[in-house]
Amino acid sequence: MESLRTLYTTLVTAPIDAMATTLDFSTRFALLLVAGIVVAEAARRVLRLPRVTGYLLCGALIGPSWLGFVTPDDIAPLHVVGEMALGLVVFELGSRVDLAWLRRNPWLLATSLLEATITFGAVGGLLLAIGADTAVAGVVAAICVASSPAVLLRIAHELRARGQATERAMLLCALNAIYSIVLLETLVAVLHLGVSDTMPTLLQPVRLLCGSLLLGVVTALVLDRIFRAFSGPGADAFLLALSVILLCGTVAMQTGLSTPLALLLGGLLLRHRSTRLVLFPPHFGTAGGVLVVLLFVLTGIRIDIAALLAGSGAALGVVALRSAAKISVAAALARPSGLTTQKGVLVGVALTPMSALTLLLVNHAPLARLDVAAAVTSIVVGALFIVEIAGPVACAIALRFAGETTHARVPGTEHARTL
Amino acid sequence: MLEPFSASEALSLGVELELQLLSRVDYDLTPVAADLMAAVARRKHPGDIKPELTQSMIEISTSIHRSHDTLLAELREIRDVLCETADTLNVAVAGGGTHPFQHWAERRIYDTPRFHHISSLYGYLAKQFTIFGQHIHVGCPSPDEALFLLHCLSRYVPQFIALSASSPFVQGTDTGFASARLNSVFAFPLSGRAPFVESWREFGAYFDKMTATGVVEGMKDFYWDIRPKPEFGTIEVRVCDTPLTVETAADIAGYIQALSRMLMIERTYMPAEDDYLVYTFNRFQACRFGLDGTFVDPKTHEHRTLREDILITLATIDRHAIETGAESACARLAARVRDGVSDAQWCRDRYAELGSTNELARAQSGLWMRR
Repeated sequence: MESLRTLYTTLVTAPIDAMATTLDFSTRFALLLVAGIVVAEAARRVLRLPRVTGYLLCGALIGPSWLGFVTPDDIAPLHVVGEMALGLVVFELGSRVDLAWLRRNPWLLATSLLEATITFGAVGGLLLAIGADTAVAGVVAAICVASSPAVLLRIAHELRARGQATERAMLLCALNAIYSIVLLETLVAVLHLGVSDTMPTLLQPVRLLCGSLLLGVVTALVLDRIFRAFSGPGADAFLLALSVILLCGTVAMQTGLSTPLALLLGGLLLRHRSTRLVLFPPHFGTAGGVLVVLLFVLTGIRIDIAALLAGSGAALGVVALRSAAKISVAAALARPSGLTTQKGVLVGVALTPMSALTLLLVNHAPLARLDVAAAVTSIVVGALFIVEIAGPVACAIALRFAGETTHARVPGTEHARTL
Repeated sequence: MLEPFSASEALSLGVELELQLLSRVDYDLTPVAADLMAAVARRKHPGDIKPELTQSMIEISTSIHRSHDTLLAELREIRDVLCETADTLNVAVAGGGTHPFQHWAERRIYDTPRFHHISSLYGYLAKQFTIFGQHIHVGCPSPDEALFLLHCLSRYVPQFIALSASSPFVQGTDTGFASARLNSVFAFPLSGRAPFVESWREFGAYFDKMTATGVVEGMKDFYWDIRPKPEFGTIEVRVCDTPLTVETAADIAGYIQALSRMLMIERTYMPAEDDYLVYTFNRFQACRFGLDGTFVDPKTHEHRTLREDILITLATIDRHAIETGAESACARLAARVRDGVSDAQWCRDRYAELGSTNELARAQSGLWMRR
């Protein structure tokens, strides 16, 4: 056994280690992409898992938890790409979500607000009950409000899901992202106020939120102009739009604004303002698709089994309570909002995944400077470990069971009238 | 065995409309019928709202009416309830005989044994059947009277097609047809016209022979342009596209009712087997060219445009239109025909203006939902 391990180290690990130090940015990018796609295809064929899970598993497999080929330090240069990819995904989500729906059906806004509040309260309450610090409980609870735009959108594209559960989950997911970012910023600012008075701390979240909103508005206006100039979305308009979105992401990063918030708001506003339909191909076509695959592989690499073990009890509790909160509120308010309770449950399940957005939030720079950071990271990354693998599968099952995927079987529907 | 023909009040009227359910994201068809049915079941409304063959269709039907006015009022009420409910689900509802760009392979069908049978028998035709029609029921006091009216109205089928045509676009392209929807219907083996028999006894004999072959099980297996519906005591005109508004749908029903009254009372038109010699030619012309199509009169063999033929017919039925309360309906149809206004042309104009079939579908739903 020991000799086998030595042999493995000599033949595999050592050469890779040697290579790793010499690999440049684009080679790392390409290798991760190839690995992600190959593993995902294998996972799909052999285990019938959604491709998203395959990308994440690939990351986990080559990351520090398992084979250790790649460490989080190795992928540090790729973080910019990951954040861009996430920005692209939330922009796409925003451009699909119809804010006017909230006016047509106010129960959806009630569902969204209640779901976020109960999730925050339940997770925070649990952590306080098991003796966590108030600051830790608050920050973890704020992060747990967010769902996964990347997983939901990717699964919906992969299964070609269309219908009520899909559309509602996307709407709630987009709103959750906004709540989570705003809550987290505010909490972190308040916590900074406690430790230092050197920073204009309370102004920081205001600057970030207003700045991100302004950037989102500008992006939406520019894109609207582009589509008008090209008289509707076409291949060239898409490429130009993609560049504008990436530019917006860069500006957000350079100026310390929130990339996901700016781009999510940009997408929502573009959809809301435009008099023409805003139609993008999934992930803006192949170019965007590549970035999204990489996003998942990078997220997978950050999965840390050590963190899970350190905070395993709390992480399990957080996952259970967070899921229960989301599912129960979505189910309870399903009927008044015009949906069956059964489909309400499925909407809730589709909101349970946590992924790249959660990881971005937990690695948020102002948060990292706080001394609660380690405790927060341990719980959240532990929870991520559980939800990363189970989340996409649960989300896929929910959309399938809602009868909204291609080839879906629809349980309990009436007899078709004959031709 | 053919079921007995239940008598109904002569010239009573009922309408069924198959409607498109569209996603507000891209205005493609969206499988939301089951959710919409569940939501609409909690609201009070007249008539009936039923699921259809695929998940992205829904059918509304009225109760029995004597005149155009009450029919239109009920259709408006059902439309309003349906549209308000659809709003809470963020779904758009639209008229029109075809969806302008849907792809048939993407359609999902209610999961029932009957569908699996249809699907394995007809293959892609079954999914291509995602088309939207208006069915108009006219009450008949006796089955023989029903067959008489059926064969008389066959002469006017091209008019009904041209008046309702609203399906020029299929799978993203302009087909050049005013009603491309009927091309999908013609592909079915038991489509076309009913056999020329004039008594219910003979019709029963034909039906028994057909069931003995094992090709059909019941009346529902015949996809005829007009077919008797013994259960309701009506004949059912099935050639119309769903128009883009309930108003046009009600006007066409009012026209058919007044025309039926003329045919049943005046007895000036006597149907004959040879009327059907020009039937498919006339029907093709109506589908392809709409009001500009050529109509060959089966009795005189005279050629004229459908536009002219409709205006001639409207002039001959005006007394009956007054009697049935379809005066204003007929006047509106006459104006449309004279001015060359049609739903198919409206679709083409909007497409030219908006530049995409997604935007066209959005405009169609805007017209239907009055938004």
